[in-house]
Amino acid sequence: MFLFFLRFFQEIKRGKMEWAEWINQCFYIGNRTLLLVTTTGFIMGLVITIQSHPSMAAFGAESWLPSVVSVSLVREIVPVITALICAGKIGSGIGAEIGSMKVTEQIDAMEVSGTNPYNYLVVTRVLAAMFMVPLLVVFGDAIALYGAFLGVNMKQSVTFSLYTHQIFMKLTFSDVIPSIVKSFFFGFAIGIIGCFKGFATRNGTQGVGAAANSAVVMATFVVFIIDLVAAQLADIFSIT
Amino acid sequence: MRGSEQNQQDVVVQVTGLCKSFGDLHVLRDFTMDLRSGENVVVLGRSGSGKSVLIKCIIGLLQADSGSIRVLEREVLELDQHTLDALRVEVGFLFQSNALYDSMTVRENLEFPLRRHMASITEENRNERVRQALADVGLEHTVDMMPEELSGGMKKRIALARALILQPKIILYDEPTTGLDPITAREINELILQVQDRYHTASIIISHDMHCVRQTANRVIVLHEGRAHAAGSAAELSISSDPVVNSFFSET
Repeated sequence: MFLFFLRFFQEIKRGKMEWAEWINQCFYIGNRTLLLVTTTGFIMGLVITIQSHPSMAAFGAESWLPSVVSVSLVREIVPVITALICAGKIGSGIGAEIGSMKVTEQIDAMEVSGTNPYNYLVVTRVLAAMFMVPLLVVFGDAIALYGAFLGVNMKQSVTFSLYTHQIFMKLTFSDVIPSIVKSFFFGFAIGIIGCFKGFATRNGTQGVGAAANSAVVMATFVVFIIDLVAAQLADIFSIT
Repeated sequence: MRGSEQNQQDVVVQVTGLCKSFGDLHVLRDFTMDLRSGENVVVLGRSGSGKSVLIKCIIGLLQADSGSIRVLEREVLELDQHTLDALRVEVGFLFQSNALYDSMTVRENLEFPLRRHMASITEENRNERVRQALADVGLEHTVDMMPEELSGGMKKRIALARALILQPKIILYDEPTTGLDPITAREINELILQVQDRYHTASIIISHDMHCVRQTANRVIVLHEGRAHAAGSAAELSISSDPVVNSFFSET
């Protein structure tokens, strides 16, 4: 795993990028996850707001609801939920696709046709995941905040402009930037684990299923580890 | 003397003392063979005898433990990745499983090596090469089909078209007729002969199909216990008294 990881940086250093395949992969990731990110983002925004309302109301702090909910959505909930969706959809997809190519000798075919399969398959997919996961997180943030707006309006009447004003009164770059930075690492982990599991596939079609499954499990676990490390680092550097 | 030099110049693949092991399993032990320009050599052996390992070592997909593999006067074991990629342009490889890229159409499969090694050719020229390669295997109408829409024999032909598209000097066939019905297998054998005749390619054909051996081989090498056990024409070997050779040829 470490050598596989190291090779990614060696290939990046060589600088021979397969741009067409990278664009394909970006489209593929967006296309496969956009609907899920939209739906879950909206539901999370709505649900967190509805559930937080009684506690806030008990302290007479209903007017703080948009600010409190937006911070928790942007800093934690949306990046992690989006990363988990991507781990499920993209990680398994990459693991199964590359695993299937491995057992049917398509990767060997690529190599004998003079194409570096690591560069063509791994670098493009990992970079696409690193690019698309943060974009999906930003998009998910917007949808979740809109869901939260509807949640707020179920109990009280707040205009959209007042709601956004309340959000941006509290939400700062030190909330948004760490969440985007960690989603960049989420993307890297999801991509490289999917590719590694795909390349390590053995035992035919049974192995392809196992590769897809273990890619999801490992990527999910690593997403939580990265989240924990990011929270600790943010605390150490006082980005709270 | 001159004849010997001429023969040496004609040799496009020279394998000498090749050894390859996987852990304690010694697959190839001091294997030696050559392939001359324009000839078809069939490497005959039982399943698991190391036939596929041999051609994967020749193309550099597997790293040999020791020995020498010279392909078109270049020592494969000493080549850096860039030179090996350049050599691979001159060596086509037909995989046993066909190895067509299943997320690409037939056209994209054929264009894949072209876009990498002949990136500067015009769109028109590329289309013409694809058309010609498909015409060579009699499947021009499949150009926009996906591999999953093709039969086993059609996939084999498309894989051969892809191996031919860069007009290689050498083609390595890994079990070209395995899993095909007798009629389709015969058609593939005829196609191998047509390719040899039309493009003067030299081929190493890995097989244990005796019909394939008899139909396509100019020369047969019997691979047994990791070594070149016997060599000769199919006619010569079919009257051999050697029990190993006889076990192949007496069945048909």
